[in-house]
Amino acid sequence: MIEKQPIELRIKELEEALSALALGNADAIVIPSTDDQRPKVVSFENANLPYRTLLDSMAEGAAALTTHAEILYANPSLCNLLGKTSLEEVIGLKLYDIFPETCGDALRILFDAANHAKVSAEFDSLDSSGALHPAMLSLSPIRNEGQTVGVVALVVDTAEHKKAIQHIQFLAHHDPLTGLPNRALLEDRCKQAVAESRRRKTQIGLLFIDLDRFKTVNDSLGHMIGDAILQMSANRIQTQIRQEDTLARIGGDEFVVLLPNLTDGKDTSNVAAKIVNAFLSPFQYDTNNIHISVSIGIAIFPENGHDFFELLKSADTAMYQAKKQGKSRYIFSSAEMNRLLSEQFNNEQSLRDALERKEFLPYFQPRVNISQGKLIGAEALIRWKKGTGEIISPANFIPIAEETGLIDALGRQMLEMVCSQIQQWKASYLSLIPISVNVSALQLRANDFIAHFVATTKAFGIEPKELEIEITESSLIQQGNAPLLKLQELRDIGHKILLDDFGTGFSSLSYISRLPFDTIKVAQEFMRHESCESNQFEMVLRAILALAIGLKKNIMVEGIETIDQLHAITEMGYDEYQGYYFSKPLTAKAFETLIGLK
Amino acid sequence: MILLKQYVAGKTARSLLALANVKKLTASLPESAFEIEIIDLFEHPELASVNGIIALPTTVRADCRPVKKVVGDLSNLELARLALDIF
Repeated sequence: MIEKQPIELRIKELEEALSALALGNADAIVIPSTDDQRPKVVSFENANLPYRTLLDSMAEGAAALTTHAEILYANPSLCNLLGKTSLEEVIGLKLYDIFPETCGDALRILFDAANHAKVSAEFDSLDSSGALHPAMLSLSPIRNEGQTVGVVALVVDTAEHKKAIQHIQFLAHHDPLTGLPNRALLEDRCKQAVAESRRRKTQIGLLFIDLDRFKTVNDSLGHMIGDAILQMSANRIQTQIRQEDTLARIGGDEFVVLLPNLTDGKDTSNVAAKIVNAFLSPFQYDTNNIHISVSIGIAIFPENGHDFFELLKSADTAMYQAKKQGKSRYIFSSAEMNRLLSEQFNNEQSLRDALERKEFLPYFQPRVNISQGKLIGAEALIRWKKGTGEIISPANFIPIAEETGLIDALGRQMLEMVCSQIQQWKASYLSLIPISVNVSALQLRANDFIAHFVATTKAFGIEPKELEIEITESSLIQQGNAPLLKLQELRDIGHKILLDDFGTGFSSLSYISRLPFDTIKVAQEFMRHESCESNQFEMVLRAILALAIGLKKNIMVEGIETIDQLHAITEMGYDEYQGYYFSKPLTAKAFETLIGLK
Repeated sequence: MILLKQYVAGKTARSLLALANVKKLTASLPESAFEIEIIDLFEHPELASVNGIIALPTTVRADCRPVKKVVGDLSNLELARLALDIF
């Protein structure tokens, strides 16, 4: 039914319609027909078609908003960004609905500002799954005759953009092949480290590492293998340094390690040595075994340079020195450091050479029973007879052997020599007394220690009772339980265990009662400085004797050099000793004479 | 029962917004209390004369005399609520 309206009402409606059209709240009109035909409905949207097409083709999200922040239109990119499949789902939503609630206040302020001028800010937008996307929101007012009739919103998902920026930043500071920091980042970190070291009065180490023979490998095996070697080298170096250190690749086959915050610059030599050692085993690529070593130059802040460039130059120069000296080594930039280093290196190298040339030999020092007046055993002591004939005492090389890990090889060589000697004496029908060998607690760490020990004694036909083991009490205590089990195993076989240098360690009585041993050898320190004459030491010696009796262990004193000392210990109740008073350590030949005579 | 006639011009932006807003207007009412009739004048222009529609979108409350009308997309919801007397 068609309503007839009073003319006033009709005019009022007409005014309302014109106002809505002027404000943009309506976008179509009805044109009445004058000839009883159907009226026509005309939409203004068609006039906007080119602009609509432009909007729809934009990669950025765009929306037209009413002045009440309602979405009037959203282009497909925005619908997509919001995870909506159709325009109808978006229209009518408020701008605040597509951002998390926490952004509400900030968005309202921004939208109010957009009524006057273009504004933008970054927000997290929500997609349909509720996941957050960082997005840049720009709002611009739509002005018509000085009035704001709406707002245009542009929403750009910045996640991809941010990722791209991060990637660009990564590329700017890293080497694409290895993923390591590049020279620029190294320089930056070094500057920070220098500033911190100045403040904290610490030192910095800079290691300039160059792969030896890399060019030859690259040229002969090809760049693909060359690149793989570089990556594997980076990994090998990385595993040798701390997390706070920086490994950078600054050139073709040049790496630099920055060691910040060192209390002692000399510590860099340990890191450098570990890196050199890490390259001793060949790289495996397909079926190729590729041997590559490294030459390292070390510069220390502040001695060798006050900034990154000076340090790098010093380390670089030192690296060339390392190359010149035969590669696969490290060299300090400072002369003093190099002197100390070369001393240590020379010692280590000469030890290796001596092992190879078998320059070590056993000396034998007898142990004596006082009341029976007879030999009851002898301690085999290692000596180094240099090519020049000079005899070196173990105190001068055992610490180096222990430090460098050569102690294993040295101990094994000594064991073989002693076993071989016992075998010879047995063959000559010399009356035999047990011989003891010294074992370092570090040797006990080797997994195959027992197996090697047993195999060696068997190979030379040595009975367990003929070979005793001496080990220092203090070294045992430091090493925990595992060495004790190994000693117990040897003791179970029948080897006697002598607890050497007793009284010099931090003897814990409860611990000693659990140690697997047969004899206490009281340290010679008690005999030095005329200590056996002092009451205090006498008390201690008497206490140790009481302890041994209590524990039902055999006991003897080392280092008896005078008749007075002998009398003193005899008076206390000791019955066994070892020392210069009876005999100094003897060569095998001299010892043979002794056992032949006595 | 409230009878709302929502006149639209196809899927123009303002028509779609008016539809969204008319739903908001009635969101608080029980379903049995109202009815919304959507009339697309692109499809049926002859129906424009029934309620004397001049511009689109227009919302008409047809269950009262004289009928109440709001021209536009109802983006000012509170004014629309007053004009159509829907609470």
